[in-house]
Amino acid sequence: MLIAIDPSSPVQLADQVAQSVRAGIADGSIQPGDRLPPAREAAAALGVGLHTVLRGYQQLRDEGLVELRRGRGAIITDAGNSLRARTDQLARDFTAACRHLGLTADQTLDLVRNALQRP
Amino acid sequence: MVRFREWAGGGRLRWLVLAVAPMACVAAVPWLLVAVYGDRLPDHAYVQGWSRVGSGYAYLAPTWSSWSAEWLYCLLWAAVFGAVVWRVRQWPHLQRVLVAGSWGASTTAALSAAVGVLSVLDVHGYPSQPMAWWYDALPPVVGLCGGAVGWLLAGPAPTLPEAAEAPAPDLPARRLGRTERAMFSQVVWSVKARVVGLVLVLCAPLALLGMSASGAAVMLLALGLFMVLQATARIQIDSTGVLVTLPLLGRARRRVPYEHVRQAEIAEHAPVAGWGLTENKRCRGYVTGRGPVVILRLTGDRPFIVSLRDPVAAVALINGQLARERTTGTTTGA
Repeated sequence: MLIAIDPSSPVQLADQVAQSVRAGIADGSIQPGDRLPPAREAAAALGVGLHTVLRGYQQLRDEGLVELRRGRGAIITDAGNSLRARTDQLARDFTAACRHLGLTADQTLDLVRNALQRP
Repeated sequence: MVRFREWAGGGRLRWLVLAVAPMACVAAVPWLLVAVYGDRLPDHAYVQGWSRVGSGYAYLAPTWSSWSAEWLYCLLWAAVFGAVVWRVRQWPHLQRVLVAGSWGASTTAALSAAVGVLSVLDVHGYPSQPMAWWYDALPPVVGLCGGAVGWLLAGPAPTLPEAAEAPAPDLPARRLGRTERAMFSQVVWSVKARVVGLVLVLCAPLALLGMSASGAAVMLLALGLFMVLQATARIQIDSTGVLVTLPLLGRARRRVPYEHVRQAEIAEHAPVAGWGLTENKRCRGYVTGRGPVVILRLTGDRPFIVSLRDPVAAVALINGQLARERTTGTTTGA
C-alpha cells in the first residue's frame, strides 16, 4: 500500500495519511485483511512524527475502515469493501447522469477535472 | 561492465581460500585425533552411530587407520567448494554464502569426528553403552555457529558502483512533487516455503524415532523452522531504497539503496522458484512463487527481485524517486 504526503499542502499531514489509505481502498490496491505499516516505521519513512501517523490511523479506525489490535497492528476491515463499492456506485451514477444529459466522454472528464481543481 | 568486473574482483582470492581451507583441514582432524589419543582407543573405530547400536554390528567397524583414511573425502569436498566459488566469482554475495557454508559443514564434520573419538576414550573392546543422543546433535548445532564465524570472516561484499542515469522514460513512474514524500509497504508470504518448512519440522521427530539420527533430526528441525520463519516478509519502499524485512526472524533484513538501482521493472513471473529468500547466480531477493515481481536493475550485481501483489505502484514509486533524485537532486523534497 502506498502512503504519500506533501508537507507543503495546506491539508494536515495526519489527514493526508488517512486520505492515502482511503484512496488505496477505493482503487482496490488495499484490500480487507491488509495490514497497515507499523506506525513507527511509517513515521520514519515519511519523515513525520509518530503521533501524526497514529492520528491518521485513528481517523481510519473512527470511520470503521481499520481495526487497531494491540500487538498485531492496524488491519483493514471489511468496511473497505463497502467504501470501494460506494465509490464505484457514485462513479456509475455520475457517468449515467452525464450520458443522460448527452455529454461526451471528454466533456464528462472535463467536468471532473474542473471539479477536482476547485478547492 | 568493466566497472562491474572490477567491483566483483575485490576479495575473490580471500573468499576462495576461506572456502577451501577449512574443509581441507577437516581431512587432517581424524589423523590428529588418532595420533594424540591412539593408546587410549579401543581396537576398532566404534565411532559411528550404526556401529554402536549392538555388538552384532561390531565386526563392521573399521580400523582406526581406515576410518581416518575415509575422511580424506573432505579434500574432494574442498575441491568442490573451490570450484563452485570460482564458478560464481562474479557474485560476491554468493561467494560469502559459500564461505559460510564451508565453515558450517567443516565445523560439523570436525566436531563429529572429535566427539566420536572422545566418546570411546579408555574403552576396551566394544563399547557397552550406546552413543548418547547429543553426540549426534551437538556437531550440527555448533556447525551453525561455525557458519556464522565463516560469514563474519568473509566480511562485507564490496560496495556497488553508484548509478547516475534516470530510469528509461517508457517505464511506469510516479510524478512526485518537489516536497512530496511517499512510502510503499506490503506483507508477502511464500506458501511453498511454509508448507515445506512445516513438513520438515514434522519429519524431525520421525527421523529421531525411525533412525536414531538425532543429528539429522536437529538439522531438519532447524531448516524447517528457518523455512517457516522466513516465509513471511515485509517489503518497504521509501525515500532511501527498498527494504525487505523478515518480521518473524527479528532484525533480519536486506536493503537495496537507490544509489545502486538503475531502474525498476515489472515481470509477470519470477525467473526462479518461490522459496522466500533467494540467492543464486541469476538473481537475489525475495520470491513467493505467485504473481508478478518487481525487478531492480542494479549497477553491478545480479538483479534484485521482489514478489509484490501490486507491483505497478511499487515500480512507479521507485522510478519516480530515482527520476526526481537524478534530475533535481532532491530525495525527499526537503
